[in-house]
Formats: sequence, C-alpha cells, structure tokens
Amino acid sequence: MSDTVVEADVIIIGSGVAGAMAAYTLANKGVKVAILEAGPRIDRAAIVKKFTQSHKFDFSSGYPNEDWAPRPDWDPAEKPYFDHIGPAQANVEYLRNVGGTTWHWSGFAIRLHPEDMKIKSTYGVGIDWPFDYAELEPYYSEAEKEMGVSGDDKDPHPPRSKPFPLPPIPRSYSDKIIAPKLEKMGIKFSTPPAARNSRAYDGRSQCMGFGTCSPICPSGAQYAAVVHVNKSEKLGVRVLENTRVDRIITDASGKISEVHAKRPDGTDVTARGRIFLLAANGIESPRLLLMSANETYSKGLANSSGRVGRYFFEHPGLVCRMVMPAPVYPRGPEATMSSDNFRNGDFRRTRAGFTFSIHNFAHHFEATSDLLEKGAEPPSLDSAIRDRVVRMIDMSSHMEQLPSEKNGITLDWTRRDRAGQPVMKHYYSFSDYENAGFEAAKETFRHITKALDAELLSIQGPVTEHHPLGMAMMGKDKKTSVVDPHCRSHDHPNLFIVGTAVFPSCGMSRPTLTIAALAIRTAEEIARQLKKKRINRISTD
Amino acid sequence: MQKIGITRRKLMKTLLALGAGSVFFSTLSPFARDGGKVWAFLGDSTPSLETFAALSSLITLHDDLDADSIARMYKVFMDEPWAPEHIEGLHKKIIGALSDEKKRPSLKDPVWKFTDGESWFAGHLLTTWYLGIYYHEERPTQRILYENALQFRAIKGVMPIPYLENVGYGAWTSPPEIKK
Ligand SMILES: Cc1cc2nc3c(=O)[nH]c(=O)nc-3n(C[C@H](O)[C@H](O)[C@H](O)COP(=O)(O)OP(=O)(O)OC[C@H]3O[C@@H](n4cnc5c(N)ncnc54)[C@H](O)[C@@H]3O)c2cc1C
Repeated sequence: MSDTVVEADVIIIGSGVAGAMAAYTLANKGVKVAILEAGPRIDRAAIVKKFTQSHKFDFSSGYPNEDWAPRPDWDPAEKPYFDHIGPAQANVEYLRNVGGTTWHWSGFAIRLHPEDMKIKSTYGVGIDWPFDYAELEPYYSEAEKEMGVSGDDKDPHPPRSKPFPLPPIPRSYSDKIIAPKLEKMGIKFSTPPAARNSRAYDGRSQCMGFGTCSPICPSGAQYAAVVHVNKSEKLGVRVLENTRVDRIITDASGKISEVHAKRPDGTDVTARGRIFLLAANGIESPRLLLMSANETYSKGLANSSGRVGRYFFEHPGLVCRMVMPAPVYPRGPEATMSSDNFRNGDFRRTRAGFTFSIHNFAHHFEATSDLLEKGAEPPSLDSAIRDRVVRMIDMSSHMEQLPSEKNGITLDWTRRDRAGQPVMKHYYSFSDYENAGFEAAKETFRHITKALDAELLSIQGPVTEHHPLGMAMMGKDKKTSVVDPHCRSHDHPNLFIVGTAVFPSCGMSRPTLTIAALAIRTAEEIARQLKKKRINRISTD
Repeated sequence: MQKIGITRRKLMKTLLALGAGSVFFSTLSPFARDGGKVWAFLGDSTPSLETFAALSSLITLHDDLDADSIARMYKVFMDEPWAPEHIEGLHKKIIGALSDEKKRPSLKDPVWKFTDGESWFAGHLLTTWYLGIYYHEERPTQRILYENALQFRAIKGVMPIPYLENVGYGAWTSPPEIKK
C-alpha cells in the first residue's frame, strides 16, 4: 500500500522546462496536473554561495546531488554516474532539482533551421522530423514569449511570424574589436537570441552583467524553468518535490495505469492519471522507460521499435583559447556574438556543419595557474595575470552530429547508483561525418587566430554540450520511432514524451527553445485529446 | 634577478605605524582590531600563526592580507606534517636575508639556500594564495578563499568577481574605466 496517492488528469514526470512548460499550458486550459520531481526545491542565493565555496569548475557543483536524486558530476575524481564504454565520452551534465537543468543553462534560445528538420531530404544524411518547420513556428513564437527571448530582428533568422519579444543584448567591447577583423575574412556575425532580459520582463530584472550566465544567473534575469514551475503552481498544479519515479506501470490494454515513486524517507508515492507525460530529460526519460520493463514489455516501455536508449547524438564542439595582441576586456553575458557562416551548404552531405560563438569571459583561474606553473612570481605576477586576462578570448564551436544506432545507453542491473537504480552504460563515438567537421572547425579557428594576430593557447575538444538527443525519437513509423509526431508513444496511447530524447535531428541549434515549443504543442494536443475523451476511448478499445 | 620593494625597515615602519607594538600578534584578535592588516613581527619567538601571516606577506608581497583569510589558510596548511618546519625555515631565511640595502630576490634565487622542501612549500603557499584552492596530492582539494584569492586583486576593475560582482547592464559594450 502506497503512503501517498496522487491523482490528476495529467501526471508529469520532471519539472524542467519540458515538464514545466507543458504543465503551465495544460493548467491554463483548466486541466488538473501534478508534477513528480525527483529533486528538491532550491534557492538562488544559496546556490550562488555554494559556487563560491566549490573547488570544482563544472556547471553543477553548486547544485544538489542527493542520494535519492543523484546526477552526473563532471569530476574524474568522483565515481562516474555513467559507465563510459565507447571510444569517445559524452560528459553530459544535468540537474535534478525543481526547475531542472535550465538553472544552469547559458540561456541561448535558438530555433532550428528548416533544413535541419529535413536534413535527410536536403542533404541525404541523418533523419528527418515527421513535420516541417512551418508546423513548429507558431510554438516557437509562443515559447519565445514565455521565456522572454531577446534577439535582433535585423539578423538573418529562420522564418519568423513575430518579432523577438525583447530587443537584442548589446554586443561586448571584445566583439566590437573582433568582428571587423573577421568580417574582412568574409565571416558574418549576428547576436545569438537568448532568454536573457535586455529589459525588465515578466517580473524579472534586466541583465546586470554578472557574466556567470552558466552555471547560474545571480539576478534571475536569465530565464529558468522554475519561472513556469511557480506560475503553474499558482494555477493549481501540484508539484511534489523529492519524489523520484522509479517505475511506470502498464495495464492489460497497454495503457499506463500509474507510476511508482519514492521519497527520501523511503515512503512510496503512487500517481494515477489519464495521461502521463514523461519529461525527465534526454537521458533519464529513456532510462525510466528501460527501467520499467515488465513481462509484456520486456525490452522496456514504448520500445517495440527497439530504439529507446539508442540513436543518441549530441552537439560536440571545440573550444579555442587565444591571447589577443591588445586588451579586449572580455566581460558581459556569456556570448553576445556568434556566426552561422559555417552552418549550411552542400558540404553537409559529407561533413558536419558548425556555428561558433565568441565568449565574454576570461579564464582568470586558468591564466593565473598557467602563469604560476611557468614560474611567474610577485611582484610582476599581478600585472601578468591582468595583462593575460584582458587579452584572453575564448571561442567555441557548436557542431551537429548524426544519430548513430550504436550510440546510447543500456542498463547494468548488476550495479546500482546511490538511489538504487541500475547504472547506465553509455556508448559514444564519432563518425567520419563529425570527424571531418572537427577538422574544418580546427582549421577555421587557426585562420581566425592568425587574422586576429593572436597567440593560440589551445584548441580543446571535442567536448559535448549537455544536449542528450535522440534516445526516444519521434517519427511516423512505429517500427523506426518511439513517439508519433505528437510526441505520443506508439505503444502506449496515454504516454507522451517531451524533451531532447524525441528529436530526430538538431542541426547546430541548442535545443531548449525547441523543447519548450514542442512541450507547448504536445500539451495542446493532450488538452485536445482530453477534451474529446479520446484517451479514454483508446483505453477501452 | 627580480628585485622587489619589501624590506625589513619597511615592514618595521608599517608595523609601528599600525601601533601594533610588542603585543602584536600574540593572539588572533589584533588581526581584527587593525582592520585586517597583517604585518610581519620580526622577533625571534613568533607564534606560528603570526609567522605564517608574515611569511604569507613576504611570499605574496601583499602586506595587507585579510585576517580571516590568513586564519583559514593557516588552519589548512598546518595540517600538513612538514608545514611548521617549512614555515619556520622559510620565514627565518627570508627575514634573515632581508636588509635595508638588499631587496627580496626571486624565490627561486639560490641566495636563500632553501631546501627542496622549502622551495616546494613556498610555491605551494604562493599558488594557494593566488588560486584560493588548495591542491596537495595526498589531501583533498578544497577551496579556502574565494573573493580574497589574490588573483582577484590582479584583475580588480577589469573583470567582475564571478557570482559576486556585476558590471551593470550594457557596461560590457565599452572597456572598463580603469582607475589609476
Ligand atoms: C552547462 C549547460 C549549458 C546549457 N546551455 C544551453 C543553452 O544555452 N541553450 C540551450 O538551448 N540549452 C542549453 N543547455 C541544455 C538545457 O539545459 C537542456 O536542454 C534543458 O534544461 C532540458 O530540459 P528538460 O526539461 O528536458 O530536462 P531537465 O531540465 O533536465 O529537467 C528534467 C527534470 O526531471 C527530473 N527527473 C529526472 N528523473 C526523474 C525521475 N525518475 N522522477 C522524477 N523526476 C525526474 C529532474 O530532476 C529534472 O528536474 C545547457 C545545459 C548545460 C548543462
């Protein structure tokens, strides 16, 4: 017997941007919603303080990593969360707390380009989305309004029906020095759209220029999904924090009947609803489907195609660090200028495209330790650090990757994580397509360094960008996909999935705006089906 | 060889100007009383915390290290078995070789006759003061200092201290106004 029973029209698993945006959309339509969230509620000021107390340089160390809601920790000294078994390593970081991973995202809210969604039809590689950009466009506009996206309407963008809700974040001083030099090379720049307030918006302040957009915006001027968790609660959505779902249960008809969750004190929670929406992020969602295997669904739920946990892809990138010949004083929001120059072209038939952005952050710690290692000493040490920091420039490329059948997760039931769940084995590799993309990006960075008359410190990578894509892919054919074009499981009529797991491709666009757009679209479909009682009808079919 | 402007006379002068007198550094409280300024006590029988404070100033060449930071650093460093010996040894050697005429040479200069252990410890101490993070292969890495790590003095005015300082909306579009 369960200690707590929760009932609602829609049970959502996970309170990140996918879950929160869906909950908010549904609650606005009068649907009764409950969210089960594995992690605790957190306080912005407390997290900021924790980052100042941490010795780690990851994006997560200020955030909770509880025994009942463990998460990856990018520190080789820690016991790895994943068992990396492939030739490459995807160091995907994500959070498990109320509001999910957008607490520490960088805020770039980029739309997919129409050809990204039709990559197979356009370039003969990858997998097409089951619908085109025009279908998603209104939801992009809606998501941009909800998140408060700033952008420059004069920049080239995928087709837009509405202007950006907020004016663009102004470019940094270093951008202004760098852009004209690189424009001479034919490289064009634009202002990356960001869910960062260029003026006060939706009760949040204007950006104050802390420059720590990721891992946390101390002022809250950058959007985080906790905004929509709070709004949803005001509309009556019940949010159960510290409630980790361990199992999704099916009935004889193949419908989801309930989910079973655990709380830190060991008590059980059973949640029942008419519809279940899995929004536990690109890795935990497929993991939960695999973990919920039963006699009828021995390969895991929603997995008649055998594709749950497979076809993983990411945005692997390179980081180029250089020292400019004169001060550029990098400071301001994470990046205020990026280039789509190397994004599109027929080359995408054989190698990955990439975009790149120039960061407004100087790695003062690295500069200091590098100088100390090289034997610098006081009194000249201070001026050496200062001189290095004001001239330091960091660029990073964001590259596409094609989904590969062999990349993905499997569960090792012989080993358990701190919450008692099976450890994930994560296979990750690159194909010739991506390797050729890395070479092209490296070559571009070398040219750029030369054109800027800068000293190249390093080109590091590939590093993945924490965008775990593809492991519960969307498609029309149930043999080759996990969910239908409305993000509904082909196998379980009342189970929907939102988040990066359903993406068939993602171009070079960071995924969160698309997650939000899809979540709104999916929620509207759920509301429609609830209204028509279609879900119930299916259940009795 | 690098010459630097910290001398025994300068240290003594400042010490007296602060009114620290003979009781200076007999306990932790004077750190707080003089607003966090720390200066070397040049007597022979210095208690370890004070010696550590003086040595820190001599090594970093920052003579106004924050008292709370010194206390934290001291606590962590004194956990190392050889720390007391190295602190005493380095302090004695540096102070002993300083004079009005002679300025402190580079820590790598053979003039000091540091042992290998002392040389290593001097670098370790300097690194920790600048990074604020304590690294030791046999001990857990830990952050000791954040805003008082000396790297932030070096970049004051040109870059905000992450998480704690902000430049204000749009200020990033121009170079910082650098106060001389
Ligand atoms: C450092 C960093 C920078 C990034 N920058 C950008 C960027 O600039 N632009 C961009 O588009 N994207 C960015 N991303 C990616 C972005 O953060 C994610 O795409 C987004 O947060 C995913 O949202 P989600 O709701 O799908 O998952 P999440 O935000 O991860 O939320 C999932 C929620 O589900 C909960 N959960 C998990 N398992 C369970 C369970 N079993 N039971 C109950 N609850 C569960 C989790 O606790 C979590 O709260 C960045 C990511 C990182 C790490």
